[in-house]
Order: sequence, then structure tokens, then C-alpha cells
Amino acid sequence: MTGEPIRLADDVAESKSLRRILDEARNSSPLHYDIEAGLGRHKALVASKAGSPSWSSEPARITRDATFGKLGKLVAVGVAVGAGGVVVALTLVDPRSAPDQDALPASRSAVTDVEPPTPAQARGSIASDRSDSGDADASPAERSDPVPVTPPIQREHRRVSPDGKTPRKATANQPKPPLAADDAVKREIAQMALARALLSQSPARALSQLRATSREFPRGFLTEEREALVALALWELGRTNEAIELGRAFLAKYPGSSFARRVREITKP
Amino acid sequence: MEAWGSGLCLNCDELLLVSKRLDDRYIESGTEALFRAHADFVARFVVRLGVAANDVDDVVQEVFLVAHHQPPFDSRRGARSTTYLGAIAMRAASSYRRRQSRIARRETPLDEPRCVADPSMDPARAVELSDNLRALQSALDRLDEESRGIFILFELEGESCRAIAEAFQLPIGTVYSRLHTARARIRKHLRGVSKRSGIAALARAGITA
Repeated sequence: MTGEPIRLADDVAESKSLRRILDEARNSSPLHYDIEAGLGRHKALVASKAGSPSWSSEPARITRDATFGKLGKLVAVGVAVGAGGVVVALTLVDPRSAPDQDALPASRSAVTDVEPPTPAQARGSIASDRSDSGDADASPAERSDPVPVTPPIQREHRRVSPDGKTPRKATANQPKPPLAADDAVKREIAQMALARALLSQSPARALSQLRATSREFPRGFLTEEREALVALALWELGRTNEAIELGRAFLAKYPGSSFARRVREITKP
Repeated sequence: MEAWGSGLCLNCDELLLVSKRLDDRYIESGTEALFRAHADFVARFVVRLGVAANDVDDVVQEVFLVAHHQPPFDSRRGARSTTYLGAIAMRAASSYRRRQSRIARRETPLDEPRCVADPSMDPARAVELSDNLRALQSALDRLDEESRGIFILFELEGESCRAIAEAFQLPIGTVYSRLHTARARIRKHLRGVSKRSGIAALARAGITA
């Protein structure tokens, strides 16, 4: 074949049924995609700096192989050290993220180190409902907006502190640096802005977004607004009983809230 | 309002300012035009690549995030913005499928009609169209990833083999070869479907396979 082939749908030598099916497929869309809503979400993701995708693009196979190579080395080190491998896993955790990782098992924390800055953050609300699936495909090398992270080799030297104890508690008790909090605030703001914008257009997606935000920032500083918006979104979706119940709980919790007036409207008998 | 004792205090005006700055930073990136122009194409493409309808937006977002983080698209080498996004979408869909296989669930069954019917369309015609598209999707689902992507881009999206080859970083001969294989499989599958079901509507219309 030397030149551009003729498309099947235009090739009179092909069967009519095949041409017709392809022609129909060309002229129909398998779904309707809401570009404005999608663009709003995209903006929020990009603005939140969490916009690093769970995998990279250039060139995907090579970087993935490289990722597995690094991961493989880490695993090999862990196996070689035997029981000490657990210590390695614990100390590999970046001290900045240690408070967030406390609740996770040690093995999971080690994997987190080779992932982008937490998949839930990286993908914003994208993978919020599938966060348990994990995104081990990603690697620090693939991050286009890297967070300063101590190289793994240096961290291995900190495996054991001079007094022979693991530094686990010391790292776990460190407060979050202002930069991380600042980023988290921006991300939360962006996600709430998206939820707010979606509320009038697509309450279902707004609700989904709010739940994702709630999972990512269970004690975020926009919790009050989030709870109000959840009640309003449920109301918009026609789930009035749930909306009223949540609305009343909200009013009891935040009687002086600036959202109280709107919430009160939906709880009126 | 103080956040996490970090010393970061924001009032409403400051919140608005932060939002505006974030928005400005985004607009500077210039991805908006790309998104507006091609989000629909990417969504359509990933659905045909087998992404469940519920997850299409997630995959579309991933595609444009990758595009956003990459250097500006360069068309000098023959690729087009659509094939460029198509190549990214292929990897996003592939990543998606791996995740799906890990969690062992699929939210949209394969036999779900994948067509947004025109409300003004005759119901019988809508059913026929839906059957045809389902048969084609079923045939596409049986192809390997690369052949499937190439077939969709060339046959359904009207892209040229050269642009596909550039975007996928494949020799053009390989694109021809994959397209040829995909065509043969699609033909065979649709012929089989046609024989088994008779495709009543086509028969009624006097069209033979």
C-alpha cells in the first residue's frame, strides 16, 4: 500500500451494509459531552496544581518501564533487608506527607512515595470514587510540576536515627509546612468553585464533586459551605427528604451561617 | 479565617483574588481553545475505545491535563491536533482499562446502545441505527488497542494515515498494516453478525451484506 487508502464508507467495492454502518457511525455521536462543564472542571484541576495526570505521555512505555525499574529496586531492597524492609518503607515516606500517611499501612506508604503527589490530589475529583484502585503506573519522573522531594537514596541513609530508633514518630508529629497547606487551600477553593458552578447546571455532578472534596478535605476550611451546597444539590435533584434532613442539621450546626438563608428556604414546610 | 494553623488567613476578597489568579494562570496556558475545539472529539474517541460512559469525563480530563503539561502542540511534523490528542487518549484509555481490570468492574455493559438518538428520528430507524452501532462497537471491542485506535481515527474520524503515523510515532507502513488487519477483522465480524441476526432492518430495506 503506497498511497492513502480509500475509506471503507466511501469505497463502492465494499458491501452496502458495511458502508452504511460506517457512515452512520461517522455521522452520529456515541454520547453528548458537556464541553462547558468539562472545561470548568479542567480549569479547576489545572488551577489546583493537582493537575499532574496519573500517567505521563512522553513516551509512555519507556517512562512506565523506568517506573517499574525504580519500584523493582525498592522492592528488591526491601526483600534483601528482610524485616528491616518495613523500616525502609516507613522512612521512605516524605516527612512532609507523613501526617497524612499515618493511617495507611507501611507498605502503602512506600508505594505512595513512587506515585505522583497522591493520586487523589493529582487527579482532583477525577478518581475520587476509585481512589482505592491505586495508580501505581505513575512515577515522580512523570510529574511535570514536581514538588521538592528528598531523593530516595538520601532518605535511605536516614533509615535509622543516631540513637538507633526509627524516626517514625518524629516525622509523624511534624506540622504541615505552610506551602503544603497553601496548596491544599487553593485546591479546595478550586474544587468548591467548580461545585458552585455545577450546582445550577448539573446538581448530580455538583454533588459528586462535593463528595469528592469532602473525602479529600474532611476538615477543610470550606466545610460549612460544602455542607450547605450538598443540601442544596440534593434539593435540586429532587431528593427532598435527604435535603431537608441535611438542611436542618446544617442550621443546627451553623445557625449564623451566611448560607443559612438559602438552606432555610429548602427546609420550610 | 485561618487554615490549619499555617498562618494563612483569607477573607472573601482574598479568596476571590486567589481564584482570579488561578484562572489567569490557566488562561495563560492556552489549553482552553484546545479543550473547546476537541473535547467532543476526545470524548467520542474514548467511548469507542471502550471507556464506560460514566468514566468518559474522567478520561477526557486526563487527556487534557497531559496536553496541558506538555510543550505546545507542534503541527510542523505532520500530526494534527486531533491525532495528537488521539494518541494521548489512547494511552489514557489504556490506563483506564488497566485500572478497571484491577477493580474488576465495568459500569457500562458492552451491549448498551451507544448512540445519542435524535428525538425526531423515527423509532424504528432509531432502533436500527442503535443495532448497527452496537454491532460496530462490538467489532471494535474485539480489536487490539492500537488497531482499534487507528481504525477509529481513519475510518470514523477522517484522519489521514500520515497524521496518525506522526502522532503515534509509528512508521506509515505500520499504520497501513494495522489498518488493513483491523478492516479485515471488522468485515469478518460484521458479516458474522449480519448472518446470525439477519439485520432485519437492512433486509427490509433490500440491502444485502
